[in-house]
Amino acid sequence: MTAQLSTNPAAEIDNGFSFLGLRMTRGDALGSALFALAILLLPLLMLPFNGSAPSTVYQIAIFGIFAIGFNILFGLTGYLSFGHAAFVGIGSYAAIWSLKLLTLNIIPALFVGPIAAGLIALPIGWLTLRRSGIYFSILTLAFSIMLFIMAFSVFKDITNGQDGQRTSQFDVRMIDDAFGWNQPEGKTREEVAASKAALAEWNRELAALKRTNPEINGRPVDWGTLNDFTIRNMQEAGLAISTRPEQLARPSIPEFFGTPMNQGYTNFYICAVVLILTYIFATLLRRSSFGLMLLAVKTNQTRMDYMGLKPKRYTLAAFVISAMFAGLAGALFVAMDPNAPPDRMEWTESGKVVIMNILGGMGSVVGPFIGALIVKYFGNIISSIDVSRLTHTIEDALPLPGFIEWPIAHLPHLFVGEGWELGMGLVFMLMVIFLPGGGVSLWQRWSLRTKRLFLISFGLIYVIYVIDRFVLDDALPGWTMFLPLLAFVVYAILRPIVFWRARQAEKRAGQDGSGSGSGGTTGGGGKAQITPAGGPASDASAAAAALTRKPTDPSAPAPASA
Amino acid sequence: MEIIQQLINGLDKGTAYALIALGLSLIFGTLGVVNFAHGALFMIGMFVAVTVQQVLNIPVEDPTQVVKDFLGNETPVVLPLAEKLFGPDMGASVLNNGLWISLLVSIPVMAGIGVAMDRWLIRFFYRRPHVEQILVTFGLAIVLQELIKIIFGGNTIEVIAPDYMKGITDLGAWIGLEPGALVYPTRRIVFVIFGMLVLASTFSFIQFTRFGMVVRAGMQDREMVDLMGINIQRRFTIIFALGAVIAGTAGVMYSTIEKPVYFVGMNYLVLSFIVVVVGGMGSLTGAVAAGFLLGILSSLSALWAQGSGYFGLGAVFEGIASVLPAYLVQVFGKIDQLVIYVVAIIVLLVRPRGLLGRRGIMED
Repeated sequence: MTAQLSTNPAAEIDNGFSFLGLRMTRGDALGSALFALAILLLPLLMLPFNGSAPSTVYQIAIFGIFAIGFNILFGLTGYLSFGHAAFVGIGSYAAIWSLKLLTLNIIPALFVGPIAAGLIALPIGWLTLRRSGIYFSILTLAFSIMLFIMAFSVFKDITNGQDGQRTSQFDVRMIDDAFGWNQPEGKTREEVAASKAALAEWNRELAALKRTNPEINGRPVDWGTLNDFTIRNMQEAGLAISTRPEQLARPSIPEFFGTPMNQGYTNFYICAVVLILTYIFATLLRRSSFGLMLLAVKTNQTRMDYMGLKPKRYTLAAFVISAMFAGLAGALFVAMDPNAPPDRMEWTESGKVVIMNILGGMGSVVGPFIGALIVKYFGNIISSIDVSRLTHTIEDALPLPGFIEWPIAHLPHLFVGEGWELGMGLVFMLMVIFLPGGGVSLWQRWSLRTKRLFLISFGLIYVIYVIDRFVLDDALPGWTMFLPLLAFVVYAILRPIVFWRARQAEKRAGQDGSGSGSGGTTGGGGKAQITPAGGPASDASAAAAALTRKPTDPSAPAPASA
Repeated sequence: MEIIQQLINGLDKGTAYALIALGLSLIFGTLGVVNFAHGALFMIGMFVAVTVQQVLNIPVEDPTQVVKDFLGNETPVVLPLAEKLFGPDMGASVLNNGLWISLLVSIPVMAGIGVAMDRWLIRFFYRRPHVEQILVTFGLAIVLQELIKIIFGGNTIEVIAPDYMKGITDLGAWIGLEPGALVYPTRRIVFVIFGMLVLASTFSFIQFTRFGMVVRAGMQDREMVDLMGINIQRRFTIIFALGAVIAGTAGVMYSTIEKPVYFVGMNYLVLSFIVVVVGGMGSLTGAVAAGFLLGILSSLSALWAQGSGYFGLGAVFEGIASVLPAYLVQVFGKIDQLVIYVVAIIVLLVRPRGLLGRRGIMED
């Protein structure tokens, strides 16, 4: 079949520009610019949805990075890894040790995390990529569970077990101490060093006392939590212990050249910049010849073998790159909140990133981010909705008899609040069943008019919100602004049904007639343009029939013509 | 003696792995479906036991019996539902044997769930790629798990074993050892015996009945069986239900050993998947053998990890340990938790079709 899909990236090279051998089409550049703008305005855009708190938006951004990176492996090559959460954990632990040992500045941590994850991913990928399909999934799963278990046992000194590793003011921080950064305010390095020495001396004294006096006045002393009160008591009891020397508190919150990470939206904007860079990187990678090789791995590995290309090199590179992005996400987590718990390495977390990829649409660049946005938004906001209040509101609003009203009012219990994961799981299942390409393929399937309607109804949310906020002083109830979107959803659900019936009727009419017109209607795709290239007419109809049998999936990669 | 103790321990773990893995392997071998929701079926079995116990214990007021409370007011006696229905003696015995009632209840329940799953979901995934099967069944596992969490809450619930299954049994006394030398909890012994019975009956069902013969033929060549005019689809549905029943009944019996909680299915899912893969996808004997092998292996390595016994080779191992760097000694000390994964990785890399897998089945 010589049919050439119009979405072939190579066909668009000439109307873009290239830099360092990396090509970017004009459409990609526009997309990246739009994406960057949307990300920088994300806190504003999330306002009507009640999700603009810094902790929510930065989590969305970090999971976006993780998902976009994961997509380089899963979306492009089709290898489904169930173990990428382990690399998030490794990145977290590496980054926290950078914060503890080197400097509180987050920049070194953001480099150390991905490098550590990449170094560990290299041997794991080399081993696991010897197998494909389900075996690859199980192997990555086994490795990630092994690393998770080892975080509790073998590497407990590094990970601090279940409690997780944290930064503290007593960390070494060699670079900070050498240059006098991140020291207590108004104190010189010498003063800090003297106070440190005095404290160390006092601790030695304490240890000596501990050896000689296991208990005081017949009661054991909790030496771990000595406060000033017990110290005074001990002095009165005749123990030779001096007062605790004044401790010059060093900061323990990660900072970015003087701005601590717990103020305002600094943390979000750092994540946002990294996310935008990730997006641009992923776009460039998709267009590069390397990206085309990855697509070829997914499409036809045997053919690559025959052409003398070694698929494993490319998949291994993709594996390591995606692991490095996972490590970057882990490092960002630590940079935003200096705590590295082992929970991040659990394999169900790897399942979550798979869910994000499927919901948003694997294969595309923006899809995984949209998936991350949906999952994190629902996780943070929907789960914190007060369900019983919602139930009462519905019960008050509906004038129905009790036995009908009760199930309706209690239906949200299943999907909102504690049960949000049930709703997410259901949506995920429906996606896999009916829309394997994810949300992005839904978008690609829509006609231009439907797309425009969607954008208009989505934009109306903001219009209503602004009018309500600044003109009507919050007079409208909160749900009114979602009415346009609701109307669109009803339209989008009803339209295909009506359309389908019309098409069925048309088909029946066609069969009653000559029966020749039925071959032309291809499945939902519609984007694929078939150019028979001078072949006989029977070839073209066979190609069309092949397309009808297997509905074209718009997100599926174009056959690589390397 | 400790070695025997750990062997029995491994047998106990291995039974649980083997029972779940058997169902998984059965489903994969016949339907060609990778079912990530199988752990959830095990978990649902556990919660069938919880439900039966809770239903039998619903407090009901008995108007015929009246007692005076400490203020002198007359209040009706509150009885568990079982005692209200069957009278005090019979009711107490029903309550005591709630586990066996749950076992009986679980069979139709799990069969129904299995048939429903196959009819409405799995059937449409027979021919779709394995990755999509994994994804959709993973989603189903999440949904089932969250439903159970909504209904029963997020905490562990204890299932009370019958009185005669509580306590320990002196296994040593049976084989003529001194009393107390070899003891084991009774309910675990019951579980192992139950598991053996289920394994034996499943194997004889597949091996010696006409139905089993057709299913085995379908495993080898589905199309051919279809062409011979046999409704293989119906049999596959029954096989799926059978896998669900095995997992569910195993869950019921295991609920007295491990307290049911909604996420327990996921833990067992990963382990039993590894068991299936090590044994060879689609090979029933392989799944069972690998289940016992891995269970016993992890128990024996626990013995080593505890540092006692060393299989009588204490001096040798200590000699090795003194030469090795400290962190390697530490790794080997914790090997009991890792051994299953290490074995799985080695087997998958060296012999991808599994220990007893057929040549050419899922070997890539």
